[in-house]
Amino acid sequence: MKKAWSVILAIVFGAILLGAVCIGVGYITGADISRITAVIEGSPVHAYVQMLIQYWNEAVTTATDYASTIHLF
Amino acid sequence: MTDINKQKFLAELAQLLTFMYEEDRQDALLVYSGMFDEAEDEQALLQALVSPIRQAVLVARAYNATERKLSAHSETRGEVRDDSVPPDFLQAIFEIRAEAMARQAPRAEAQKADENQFSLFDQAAEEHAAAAVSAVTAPGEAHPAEPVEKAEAPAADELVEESAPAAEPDAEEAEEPDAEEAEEPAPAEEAEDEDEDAEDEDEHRFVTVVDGASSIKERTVRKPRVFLLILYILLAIPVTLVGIVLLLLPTLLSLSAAALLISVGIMAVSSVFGGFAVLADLLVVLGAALILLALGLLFLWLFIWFIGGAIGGLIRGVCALGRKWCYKEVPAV
Repeated sequence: MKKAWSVILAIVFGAILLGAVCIGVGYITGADISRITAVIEGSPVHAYVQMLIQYWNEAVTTATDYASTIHLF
Repeated sequence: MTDINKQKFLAELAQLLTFMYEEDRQDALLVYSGMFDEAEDEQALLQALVSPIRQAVLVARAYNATERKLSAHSETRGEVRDDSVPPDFLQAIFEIRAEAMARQAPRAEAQKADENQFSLFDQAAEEHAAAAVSAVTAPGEAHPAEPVEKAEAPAADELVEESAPAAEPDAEEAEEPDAEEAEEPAPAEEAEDEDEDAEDEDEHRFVTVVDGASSIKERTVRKPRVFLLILYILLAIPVTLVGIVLLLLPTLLSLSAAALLISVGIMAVSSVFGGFAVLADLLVVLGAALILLALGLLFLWLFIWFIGGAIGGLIRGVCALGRKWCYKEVPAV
């Protein structure tokens, strides 16, 4: 299990580092957030993302309500 | 006929010395074989040695398995073996040889050793004994013979148990002419009797040594403490269920977070190739997608760890605690 944790954490940190480098290079070479958001809002991906975020918020709310109910008992 | 007795003796001794490392076993058998080659009267030598069981007991007493294991490990690491001082078990065998040679000289009447002392071998075992003798002459391995000889250990145990009562009267018969011919005073004879009793005890104790253990092991049986076990089950089940429910909350949260992050990351990657014309914007979105996928992978692993590690560990821990508290080890009757 320890070896698996170290492998997973290495992959995660490597991907985060690579993503940060990509973002940095993009901003350095002239990326514009307003252009990016305009493209994202115009694509169907935005609707799916909004739906998923809504599902996530509902799941968190349900979990906290359940936890508070158990605590009451 | 004498060759058959020598072969039988060496074959049985080879089977009884399986608790030793292969190299040490080969050395010991070589010395015994040299003893037979040097002896003028083989029957007298066999009488002096008494039986393979007795020789195996004497060698076992002098053999230090831990020390030999350390020296074997140092040899595998490339350190030079110090052959100037022979090991304790070889020194004991040399003393036995010297004593046997000394006993042969004053003996005037040569009594043939009773061939029945080797009657442990039935027809099938005789063939195996011949194979064992041929294996004795083959070059030995550097690894200990204990795991290989485990299958032979039960057979050796049976042979030891069968031969222990058979060897005792033979040992007594062999001891009587020694007592008659020697000009020792009475206290020395009593000391010999005490030695015989001690050696008989050693032979019985040797039965467990042949099992492969260097110390006597007591057989124990685990018995449950019934009242305590019932009480523990009644308390442990609800506590474990509460623990599992509490652990399920972060488990499900991490699963949902993983699903969200991974799906958003995949959508971001797919949108990179569809909607962006500027390379800089593409790089920013790609970087963000990589970060989202990495976090999704982390939460997914966290979910797997909760299921297998945390919840599984809780159940295993409760069971282990129950075994520790509610069972006791009782010597086997």
